[in-house]
Amino acid sequence: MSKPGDKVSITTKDETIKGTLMPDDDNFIVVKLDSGYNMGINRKSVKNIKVVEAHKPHKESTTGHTHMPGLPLISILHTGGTIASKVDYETGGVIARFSPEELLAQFPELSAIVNVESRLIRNMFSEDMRFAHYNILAKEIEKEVKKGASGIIITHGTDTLHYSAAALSFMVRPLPVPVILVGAQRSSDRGSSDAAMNVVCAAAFIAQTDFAGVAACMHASMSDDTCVIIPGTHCRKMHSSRRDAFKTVNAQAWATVNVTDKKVTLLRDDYTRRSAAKPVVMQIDEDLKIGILYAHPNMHADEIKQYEEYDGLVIAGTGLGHVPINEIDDETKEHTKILKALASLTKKGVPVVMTSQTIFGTIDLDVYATGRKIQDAGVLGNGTYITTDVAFIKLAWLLTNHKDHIATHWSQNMVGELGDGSPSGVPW
Amino acid sequence: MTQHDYAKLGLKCGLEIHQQLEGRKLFSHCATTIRDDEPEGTIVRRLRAVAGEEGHVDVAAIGEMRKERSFVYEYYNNGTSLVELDEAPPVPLNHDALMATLQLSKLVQATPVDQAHVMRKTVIDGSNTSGFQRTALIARNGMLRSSSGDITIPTICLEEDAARIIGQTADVVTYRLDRLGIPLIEIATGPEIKHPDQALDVAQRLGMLLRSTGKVKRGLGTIRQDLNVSIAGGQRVEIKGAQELKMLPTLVQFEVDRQLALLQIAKDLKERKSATHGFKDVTSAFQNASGIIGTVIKQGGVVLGLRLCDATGLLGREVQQGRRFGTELSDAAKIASGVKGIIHSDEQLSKYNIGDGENNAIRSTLGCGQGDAFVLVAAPLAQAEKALTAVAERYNMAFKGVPKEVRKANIDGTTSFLRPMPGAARMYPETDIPTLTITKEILERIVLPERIDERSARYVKLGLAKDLADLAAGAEEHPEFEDFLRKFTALKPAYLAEVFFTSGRTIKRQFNIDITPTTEDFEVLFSSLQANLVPKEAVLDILKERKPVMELIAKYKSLSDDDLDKALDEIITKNPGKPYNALIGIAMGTLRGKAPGQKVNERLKKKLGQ
Repeated sequence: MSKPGDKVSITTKDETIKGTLMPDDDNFIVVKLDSGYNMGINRKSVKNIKVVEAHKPHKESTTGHTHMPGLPLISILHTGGTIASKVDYETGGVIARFSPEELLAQFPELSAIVNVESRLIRNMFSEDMRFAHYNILAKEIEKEVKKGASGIIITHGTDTLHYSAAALSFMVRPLPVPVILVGAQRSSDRGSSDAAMNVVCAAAFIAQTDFAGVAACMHASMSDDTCVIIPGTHCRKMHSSRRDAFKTVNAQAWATVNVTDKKVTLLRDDYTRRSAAKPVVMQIDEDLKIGILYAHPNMHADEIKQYEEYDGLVIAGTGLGHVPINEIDDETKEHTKILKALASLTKKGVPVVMTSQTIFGTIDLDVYATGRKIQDAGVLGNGTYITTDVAFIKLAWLLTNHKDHIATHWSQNMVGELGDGSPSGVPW
Repeated sequence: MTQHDYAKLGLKCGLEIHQQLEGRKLFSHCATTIRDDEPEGTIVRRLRAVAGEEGHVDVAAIGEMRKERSFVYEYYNNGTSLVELDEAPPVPLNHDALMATLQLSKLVQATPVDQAHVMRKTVIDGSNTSGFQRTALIARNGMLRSSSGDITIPTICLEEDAARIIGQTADVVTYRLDRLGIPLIEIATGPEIKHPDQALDVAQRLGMLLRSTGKVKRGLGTIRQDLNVSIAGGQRVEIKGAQELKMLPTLVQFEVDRQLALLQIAKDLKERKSATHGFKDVTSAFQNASGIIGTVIKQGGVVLGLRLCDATGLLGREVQQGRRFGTELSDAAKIASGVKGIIHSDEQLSKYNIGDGENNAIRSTLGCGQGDAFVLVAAPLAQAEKALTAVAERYNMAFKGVPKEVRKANIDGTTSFLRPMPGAARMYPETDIPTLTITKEILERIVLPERIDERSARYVKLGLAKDLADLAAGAEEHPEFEDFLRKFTALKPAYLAEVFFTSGRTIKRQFNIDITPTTEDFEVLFSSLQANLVPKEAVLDILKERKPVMELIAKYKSLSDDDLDKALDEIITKNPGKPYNALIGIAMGTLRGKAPGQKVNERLKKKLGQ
């Protein structure tokens, strides 16, 4: 019985084709020719497949690794967003690499900056992450800090990297070391992958500064020259595919790192310094159901009502934090119902917090009558600069750890998550 | 040129043609326009070698990474997209390009694959922003009949063109992204070409078939041909970038010369038991250096020397017209390190201001005995070391004969080393693009285009001379020409072709004027000619005016018979006593373009009673 990787001789009615068998593709037998090209042969045309040489899986070489004296030790925790992989040209498969030896082989520059240990926590798409995974990750960070790591790099899928960064900022405190999340917008099997530079710059930042706390490290522009260190609670993926998708929102970035000379340029000095503190993990209740509702024209009260069984709701309002609640003519009768639904929800004990779908800028519910009515309905958030994503995380964490003080704690800057309206890194 | 017995030498020669297609790019929505205006932005990138199985990195990729270069990419806000910048995933494969490839495949009786898979072919010289080229095998087992036998066409592929080099320094290569992603049809022949002239014939035929699809880009650089050449005992060498088709035979010939020379050098090296020895610093040999060497030393550089035992005479041996074995070593040094060149002891050292004193000092430091040769390089230390390491490597390769490598075609038909031949298996699936099933429905939609040579034969039957027929058949405007054939049946096909296709050339040659007539202009012109409104003699004058023909018909209207008679009468009256010969001259001069010459002649003769 032939299997992928076997060298085969395939007979059809017209010819005999030699090559390496690849995984099937529905109705097609796929073969890699000697030229390296793959081609699909209609299954119906195939008369016979003869195995000429069975596939011998290559034995993984375990070379081991040593630590250089004088260099800080960092732990790399993999959750996904494979930053290192190799291509098996024989089968065409892309294989993720996780071990310290493999990482150092892929990023030799690292060995001049840091010593590396690494562990595989998960290898998952980041959109599949749940509160449970934040809890797992928080515990792993605690473990690594106990083991004496000078810093931790977390590899992560880019889609929800900013959610995890926010979660860890709330959950593991006080952090005595830096925890830097990195991802790759271009898969690491490519020569053009941004993974290497992101990891190396993160390591350089850890090695050269006394920064402690959660941050993300990704490309600052489309060029391979500078990475930006973004505060974990002011981070957002702002482009579906560009290397510089991650931007700092409602705050200033901590630093930039130049990949050529590994020079770190600190942009602010109001960061928490390294210490010998022992972090405590304050988890997020995995059973919490928090909704995110995007306000829009032509809304209906039902959209609010469907959250009656939820534990909390984040509304991404328009402008300064608005939802259509003004009945101004015959056509807007629904809006009174929306306001009623909001009030009803908060009265039931479901905290409702307002953010802005503009992403940047303050939520101010005092400027217009709309906002004041929304406040009267019990909605929180007035006077805060916070993104919808971070608000979602903060609400979940508050519901778990400060259930009775949500209103007061919402406007408190607990881990630097409330912005200050300083110019952000994104050019307008 | 030496005439070789190519059969005896075991010449194997194959051709690889890359033809650009018109329309949209292969994996983005951009047009396929080459830009020469200032780019609107640039980015800087570094590419990394990707480990294959067992951490083994592709040979050519190591070579590239060793150079520690960065790449600058020039882009346009309209005309290049995030796909070309490697900042967005590719869009689905351009279906028109696939159809054109299938058409070409049908023309050479190649069999399309049942299901095509787009692959990533690792390329990290910077010419692809993603670090790979997207390429797919579309058809196999085609055949071309040539004047000297059948040539197999094992594969036809559809792939994206690379970015083009704009500039290069030691550390930075600048590319422009306009060309990146233009669809290319790649046709690879088998190694059945047996004679240099046959290479030209095959290339011309394939070019004609490609143009027959009507889907190809035209102009300089839109079609590239690469040659693969080997002789018995030699190695397959790929020659890239042949600029002109007519140079193909020379390139083959000179490569055969080179391989023969290298095989002889290998023999000689082994016989002499030659060897290399580690390089040493010989800067001290140059006390008051002038010229190139002097400048390098003054700027803090060094002169390093490499001893090659018993190699005297070998370095200066010619391997190709105007190129020596030493030139091959120099190529290796240049490519590896970016130095401008090397100096070797078989050269006229005085041209580098190296006198006997310096020569002796060098030979002494290097420990050269009689018969030993040396190679020098003057450059900053790190660069010089890179250069001589490459020279030593290349020298040691020479013991085995001909290295398998990729070379660049030079204008004179010689070749220069470009890079090592890449390893075979460096392709893996492009998982961003779904597989393409080439269904029966798709195949049924392929219309076999009329081949240009068959069209030309058709035109010859209509009365065009062969050259004119070839010109018309190969022209992009042949459909318009065939429209004219249908509409203006009173005019001879050959005449229509001559006016439509050659008037521009003729007017340029005779009057140094460039004309740009539209199809409408020709319509009006032919219509007027057919209706005898204007005489044929007026055609060039009309076109030369560079105004819409519609506005000029009145001006060039043929004289009516009555008016013609009146004009002739006037001429006769004004020139009493002059003989016919004189009168016809005056008449032709005055009436040229106003009446057909034959008519003028006839009527004048009648009037004179002849």
